Amino acid sequence: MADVLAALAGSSGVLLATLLLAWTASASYVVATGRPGGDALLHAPRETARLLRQRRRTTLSADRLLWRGSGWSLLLVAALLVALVPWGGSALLPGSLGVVWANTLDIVVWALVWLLGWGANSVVGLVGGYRFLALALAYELPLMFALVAPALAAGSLDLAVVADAQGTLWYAVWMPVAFAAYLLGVLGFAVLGPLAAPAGPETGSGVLAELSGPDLLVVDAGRYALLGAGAAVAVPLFLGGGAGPWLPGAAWVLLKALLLTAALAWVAGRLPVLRVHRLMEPLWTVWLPLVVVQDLVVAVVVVAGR
Amino acid sequence: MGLRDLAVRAATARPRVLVVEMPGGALVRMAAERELDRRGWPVGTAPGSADVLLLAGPVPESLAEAVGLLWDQLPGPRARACPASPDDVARELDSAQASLRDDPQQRADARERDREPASSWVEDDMDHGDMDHGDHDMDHGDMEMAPGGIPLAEGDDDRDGLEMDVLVHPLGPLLDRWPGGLELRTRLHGDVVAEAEVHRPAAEAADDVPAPVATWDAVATVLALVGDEVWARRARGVRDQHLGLGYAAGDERSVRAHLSRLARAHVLPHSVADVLGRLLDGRLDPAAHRLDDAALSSLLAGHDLGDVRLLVAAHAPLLPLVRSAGVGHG
Repeated sequence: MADVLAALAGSSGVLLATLLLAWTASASYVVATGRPGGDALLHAPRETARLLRQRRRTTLSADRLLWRGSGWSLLLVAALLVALVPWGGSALLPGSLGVVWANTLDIVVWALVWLLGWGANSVVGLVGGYRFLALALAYELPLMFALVAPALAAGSLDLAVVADAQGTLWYAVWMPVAFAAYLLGVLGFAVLGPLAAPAGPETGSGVLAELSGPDLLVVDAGRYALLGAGAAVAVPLFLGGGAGPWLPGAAWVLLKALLLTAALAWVAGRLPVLRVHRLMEPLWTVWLPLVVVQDLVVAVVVVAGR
Repeated sequence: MGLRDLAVRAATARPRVLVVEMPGGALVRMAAERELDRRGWPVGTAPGSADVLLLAGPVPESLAEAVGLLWDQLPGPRARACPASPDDVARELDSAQASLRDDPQQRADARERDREPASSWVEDDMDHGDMDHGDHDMDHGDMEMAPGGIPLAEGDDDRDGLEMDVLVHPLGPLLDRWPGGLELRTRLHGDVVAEAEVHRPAAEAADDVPAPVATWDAVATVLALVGDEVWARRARGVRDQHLGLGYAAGDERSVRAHLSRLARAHVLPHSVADVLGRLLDGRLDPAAHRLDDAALSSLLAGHDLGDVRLLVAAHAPLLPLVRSAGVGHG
C-alpha cells in the first residue's frame, strides 16, 4: 500500500514538474519574442482555454490513429524524460542505464514528429515531417556524442551516479562543447527556435498545419515540455544534480532545471529559424568533430586521473 | 458570470488572426499588422488553428469562392473581419472578438456546419468512392486510384535524376504573408518546386504604396517568414515611419545590419538577401523594374517550398499584381 502511494505521489510530482517546466518554457519564449511579462505568463493558460474551446477538425483520408496518437505522445515522452531525473537522490524511474534511456526517448521523438506530418495527409505536413528527419540526422549524432562525455567522466550510465560524480566542478564547466551540443539537440527534439523549421511559418506551420483545438494544444504543450524535460535531464548530466548549499537536493534540481529552461527558451525565442539543408554540413563537418574531440579530452582526463 | 465566462474571456483574450491580403489591399494589411502588434494578438500561419479570418481589402468577385473554401477551414469558434480601408481595422477586430465571445452565435454556427455534408472538417463517408473503383477497367488502375477523391501522385525525374512523386500544389491566391491574390500553381518534386505557373488577379483599384514602404514591408515579411519576430516588428516600425506613422521607433541601420548577419548565417538564401539589399540601396527601383509572369516563374523553379515563400516575399515590391482594365503594364 505504501509503495502504491509513493508511486502515485511520484507520478503526480513528475507530471506537475513537466507542466511547470512547459509553462516556464512558453513564458520565457514569449518574452523573448518581445511581449511584456504579464502577457507571457498568461500565454499558456490563455492558449489552453482557446484551444480547448476550439473544435477538432480533420483532413480528407487522414491517418487519424497515427496522427493524433503521435501528437498526444509528445507530452508522454517529456514526462518520461522528467521521470528519469534523480530528484535529490531518487528518481521515479531509477536505473543503471538512465543516460541510454534519455537518448532512446529523444529518438522516439523522431517517429512522433514525422508521423505528425504524415498523418494529416497534407503536403505541408509531409514536407515538415521530412524536414524534421533531415534536421534530426544533423543534430542527433552530435547529441549522442555529447551524452558520452559525462557518462565517460563518471564511469557510469546512471544519472544519479553522474550527478554525484561531479563534486564542485560541474561538467558544464569543463565540457562546454558537449553541453552546447546537448542543448542544441534539446532545441531539435523540441522543434523550437532555430531548429523549428519542421513547423516553420514559411511552410505554413509544416507538421502543425492541419492541427486544431486540443490536438494542437497537446503538441504545443509537448514541444515546450520537451524543452523543459531536456533541460531537466541536463541538470544531473552537466549541472551537478542536486548539489548546492542550504536548500535540499530536490529543490536545487528543480531550480536549476527551471533556470536552464528559461534561459534556453529565451535564446530559442530570439533566434530565427535556420534552413535545414544548410545545417547538415556545418553540424557534421565542424560540430561533430568538435564534440568527438571533447570526448577525447574527457577520456584523457579520466585516464590521467587514475 | 462565473467560471464559464472567465474561460471564454481567457480563450478570446488573444485570438489568433489569419491575415490574408486581397488584391490591392496591401495598405489595409499593413494597418492590420500594426493593430495586431499593438494588441499583442498572434498572427496565424494556418487556417486550422486560427480564430479570426481577416480579409484585408475588398474581396473581388473572382476570389469569393476561394474565400468561402478558406472560411470552411477555420475550425470554429470563428469570426471574419473584412476591413475595406485602414481605418476600419480596429473596429472590425473588435467586432470579430465580440463575435467570438458570443457563445449562442458560435453554437448556432457550429450546428449549421454539422448539417452541411461536405464540410471540410467532418470526416467524409468515402465508401462509395471505393465501390466505384471496381467498375473501372483495371488497365490504368494506378492512374485512377483516388483515395478520398485525391488522385495519387504521378512519378517524374527530379533535378538529380531520381524518380520522385509529383504533386500539384497551389500556393495562393489566399495565403498569409503573401502578395494579395497572387496564385502559383506549382508542381512539386518532394519539396522542390519544379515549375510554377503564375496567375495574377485583376483588381479594380491599384495599390498606391510608396517604394520605401513596399521595400520595408518586404523586409518585414521576409523576417516574419524566418521566424525572427523581434526584428520583423522593428522592420514594420521602419515601414510605418515611411508611411508617416512615427510612433514606432525604428532604426533602419540596425535592421540592415541584422539582415546582413542573417545572410552570412545562411538564414536567408543568397538571392533573397541580394534583392532586399538592392531594394534598400535604391539600386532596384520598384517603379521601373517589374517582374512579369515568365520572369517570376523562372525565378522560382528549382527552389524548395520555404525558399519560394521567401523569394516571393522579397520580390513583392516588383510584382505588378494589379492588372486593372485601364492601365497596362510593361
